[in-house]
Amino acid sequence: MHYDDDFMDDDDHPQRRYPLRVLWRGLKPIAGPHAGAFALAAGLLLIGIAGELCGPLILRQMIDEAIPSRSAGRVAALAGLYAAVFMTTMTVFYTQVIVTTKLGLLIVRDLKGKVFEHMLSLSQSFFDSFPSGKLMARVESDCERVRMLFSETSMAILRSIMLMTGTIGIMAVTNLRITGFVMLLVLPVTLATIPVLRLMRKLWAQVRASYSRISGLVAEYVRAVPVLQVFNATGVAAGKLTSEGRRFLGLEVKASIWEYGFWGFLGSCEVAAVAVILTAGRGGVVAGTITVGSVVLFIEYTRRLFMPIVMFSETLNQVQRALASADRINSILSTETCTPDGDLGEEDFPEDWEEIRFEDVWFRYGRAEWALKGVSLVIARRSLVALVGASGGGKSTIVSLLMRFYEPTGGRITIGGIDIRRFRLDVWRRRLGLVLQNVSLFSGTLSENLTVFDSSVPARRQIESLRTIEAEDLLERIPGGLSGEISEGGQNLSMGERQLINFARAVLHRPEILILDEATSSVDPGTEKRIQKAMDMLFEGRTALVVAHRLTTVRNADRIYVIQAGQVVETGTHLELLECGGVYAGLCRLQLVPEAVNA
Amino acid sequence: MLKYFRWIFRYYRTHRLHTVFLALLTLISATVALAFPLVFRYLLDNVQEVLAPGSEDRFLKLLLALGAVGFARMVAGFYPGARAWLNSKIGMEVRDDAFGEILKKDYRFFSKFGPGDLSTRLTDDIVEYPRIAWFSCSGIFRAVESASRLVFCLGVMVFMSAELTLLSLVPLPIMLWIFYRTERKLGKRVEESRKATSSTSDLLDSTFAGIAIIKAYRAEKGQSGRLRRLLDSRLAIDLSITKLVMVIESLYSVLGEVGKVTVLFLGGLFVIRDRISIGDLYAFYVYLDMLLAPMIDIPNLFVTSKQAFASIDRVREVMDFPPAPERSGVRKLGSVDSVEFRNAGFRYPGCDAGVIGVTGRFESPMTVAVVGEVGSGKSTLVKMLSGQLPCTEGDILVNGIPLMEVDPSDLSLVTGYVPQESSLFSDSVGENVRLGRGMEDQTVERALALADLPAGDLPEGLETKLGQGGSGVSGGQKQRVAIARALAGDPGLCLFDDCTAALDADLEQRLWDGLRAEGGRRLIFVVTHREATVRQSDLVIFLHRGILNAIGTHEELLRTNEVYRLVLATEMS
Repeated sequence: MHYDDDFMDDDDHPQRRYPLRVLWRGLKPIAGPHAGAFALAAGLLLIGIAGELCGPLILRQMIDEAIPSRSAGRVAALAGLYAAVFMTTMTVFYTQVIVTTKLGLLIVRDLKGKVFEHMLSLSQSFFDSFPSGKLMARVESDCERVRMLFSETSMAILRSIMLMTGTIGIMAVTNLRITGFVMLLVLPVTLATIPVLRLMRKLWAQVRASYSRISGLVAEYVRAVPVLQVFNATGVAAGKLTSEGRRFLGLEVKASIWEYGFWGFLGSCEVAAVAVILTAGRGGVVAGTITVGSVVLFIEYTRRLFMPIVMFSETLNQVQRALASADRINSILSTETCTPDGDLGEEDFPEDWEEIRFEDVWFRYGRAEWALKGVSLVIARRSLVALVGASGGGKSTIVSLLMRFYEPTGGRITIGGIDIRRFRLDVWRRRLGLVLQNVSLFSGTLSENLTVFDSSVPARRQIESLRTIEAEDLLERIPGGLSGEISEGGQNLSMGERQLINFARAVLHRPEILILDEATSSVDPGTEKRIQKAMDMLFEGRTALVVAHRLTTVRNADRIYVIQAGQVVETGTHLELLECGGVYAGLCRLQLVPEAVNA
Repeated sequence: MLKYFRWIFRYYRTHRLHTVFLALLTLISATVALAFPLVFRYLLDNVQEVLAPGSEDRFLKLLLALGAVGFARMVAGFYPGARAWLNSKIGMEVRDDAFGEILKKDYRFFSKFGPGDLSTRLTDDIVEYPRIAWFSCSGIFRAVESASRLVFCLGVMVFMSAELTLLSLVPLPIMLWIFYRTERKLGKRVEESRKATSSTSDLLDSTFAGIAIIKAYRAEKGQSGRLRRLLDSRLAIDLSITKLVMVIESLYSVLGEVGKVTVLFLGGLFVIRDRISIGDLYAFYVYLDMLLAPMIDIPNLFVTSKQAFASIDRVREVMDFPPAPERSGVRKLGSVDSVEFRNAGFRYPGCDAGVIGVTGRFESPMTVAVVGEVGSGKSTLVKMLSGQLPCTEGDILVNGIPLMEVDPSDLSLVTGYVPQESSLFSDSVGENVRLGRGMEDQTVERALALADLPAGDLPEGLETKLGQGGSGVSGGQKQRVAIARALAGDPGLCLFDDCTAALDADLEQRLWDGLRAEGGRRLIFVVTHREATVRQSDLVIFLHRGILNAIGTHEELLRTNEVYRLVLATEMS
């Protein structure tokens, strides 16, 4: 059915940025090495098609000579020849398909690997622009289409061309006149198929879109039935589903009429062709200029002519799509990262650094509003610095810049006086440990989540990291302990457990500098206390930058920066800021934490 | 097995005309299949007479016959289309029926069937090949068509020459058996391939979704390596699948060609011995070609029927599950004056979870905070008030009337419910707030303003579209739309189930201020973790470990209840 072809949606009007030359240059290193296999497949195809075309020729011999000659031997010989040709053809086609498929699979494996690897080298801004689904489509669907281009699609084009040439050639050699008449019928039909197929594709895309809407409705309603019941709105939901269903039916009927009408029409064209052949050949048979066997030959070939013609149209469309995919892949492969490696390595890192400084940092995402406007702050070594403020004020941006997920638009960030851009990315990131608000767990084992897929980390260290934050009970709670499976996004764990794992991960990597981005705001208060306790133990002797949403976690900070609308509006310790009665004090009051106010 | 067909035929009843039309088309299709080679048989056997000059009218008759066949072919071309149409009609009806049944279920059903599972049963199980929709019409009719084609063609062939028919069919059973053995092996490999593809998707999705962590912990190389290893294994599986598919296709060809070679050889001999004519030979040749597809189709019906029946079972499991007990209540409410709990309790079947022993009376207007540690039964209590969960013990009375005796649609009118997860839909903000109640824009805008989300703040006002499940706006905005939805009907009974977690403290404060300023006469029950909210409530229901611990004002409880003080210290913010 047509419903699960959802990678066809993107490109009913494929936009192409790169000329064929450039696309070829990009794909050559991957496809090039397989040129020999491709040539072999093409050669095999040629032999196979030749064999296929023999069938009706043998039939003609049988009808015109072997049978009238009343010779059993001749009949046996021809039948034997037919069998031999058939077996050879079958073997040849089998080999050709295997060679073609293998060639395609090898190409796609290399291509997908290359695209993925390149994507991972790009900076965060690339990932901000594309949702995960689109990126997956690039790696999977687009690469698959390019694979098909180099394997099945090319072979299908070659096959159509060879078959058509061979068929028409043999017919022309047999009797030019009848061939002429047949072409008179076949050519207009062929040309007519192109716009019809295009229309059909468009209609089916509409059908798929409608079905996709139905699926979406089912998914969201089924989740919310109790709520619908409370609001007595079940009728509304049922009505909506029914009406979308009717709409889908209407679209499908329209597409079906075109689709089946088209194929039915082609079927009758076949019959019409036979009528043409008979009429045109009539005189010839009587006059003896053409044998009955030849007439049968023509009929057999014409019956096989329509399919390749229609397939050719369809194949060209696949080529278009594949080129659009190649285009998209090429645009990714030619994208550069915004946060390139610097040239300073491990040996150049200032081990005795005293401060990390943000020096008049300005930042905005692309052409959007300024997210940071001249932010200057100091993170002293072995201190705990907290960033507070309303959501959207710029705190997460500061963290992202420190991680070098983005480059400051203006100003710079230094450590021990050296701009962090000057270091190699891995040198810088090795010293940081990140814990994020959007808890990021991978489908894999607990161990894989802790080590982020580094299998060289011994289990002992992983258990130790859990112990440090008093979360060893996770090893019991999760069936299988370190080898226990964590499902996608951590669905089989509670919020609190997910946070603890994220935390243990940070600890495991023994960073000098800890960065926690709103790590405790999405957890129930009981577990929050637990994590806070662990954090206190962790901050011992380390430098930490905490983006806090809850003021209770921030009381112990050595320095607090209040960030509002991309700027530092207040800074000081908790007590200092309370006393000064400004923004910070206001935020505290709203939380109505009695101890804080009275302290 | 018969019960499945009976279930399917029930759906035929509403489409009698369509079914008859299909039966007709089946006949035409099988007849057309027959006719084409017969025309040629006639031609080849009477070549001289038909093609001689002066026999124009004979020739014309032949052309006319061809014309009729051509036209019939065109009509028969619509046959698969007519089948596909009935497939979809039945599919839609099954879905609507199943969904309608789901709408009548209660908590017992939803604790057994997860939303993902239900979605699959209502979509893939119906629509995928060869499941319910396809099987209900195409599956059955194709088998009938194939059977009739087979019978007709074989009939004619036997009529022409019984011996040739028998001889050309002899090798086929062996071939068919090999064919089916290989197909089963293929099924297993295809499953492996699907799993591998699914693993690749998981890898890609989680890498992209967690790219910050991957970059932060320098795991790029590792992930690349993992992908390459996965791709290598997929290559091996896919190549073996291709080989198997090619073997099957080749067997298919051999099946056809073996018959044809036999015809050519033996048939040729028969013609020489004048036992059949040349026309017969050609007709045989074409018939054998046509017979192959039906011969594969019919056994295929048994294979596909297994999958279709499995899906029918899954859909019926959902439909036949006992629905929520009829709330036959007919008592009307008007306004909400009081809510009374009389030792009310609910326990989930077979386990200890739930809440019990709730006794207390609350009169409107009042704000009642429901407080307790995680798992103490707060949400359960609110769900009991909304009617989602029944009282397995005791009673809840509204205005002195037991909840079960109140007309459910009346209860909906006076209740405003905000669930923990906002439960919004992919529609405009305005429609989400209305939820099918015919409200004017003004009412909707007022509700949104109360929820601190003025329509002006939204990019397209009330027409702003939400994505699937309410995506496309922030968590805080989602909650506020849900709150507006609850308040839009001017409810006398408001139930807020821990819904302010996504709101900033100041936002929540503005909500309470707004409600107070608006001055409606409401009885509000709010589950909360925020001490500020508890402070502003008139009474507190304190639940602990699934049992009612106390009811009183916040100050009273702080003074007299040690457990309350403890829970507050650890749980509240």
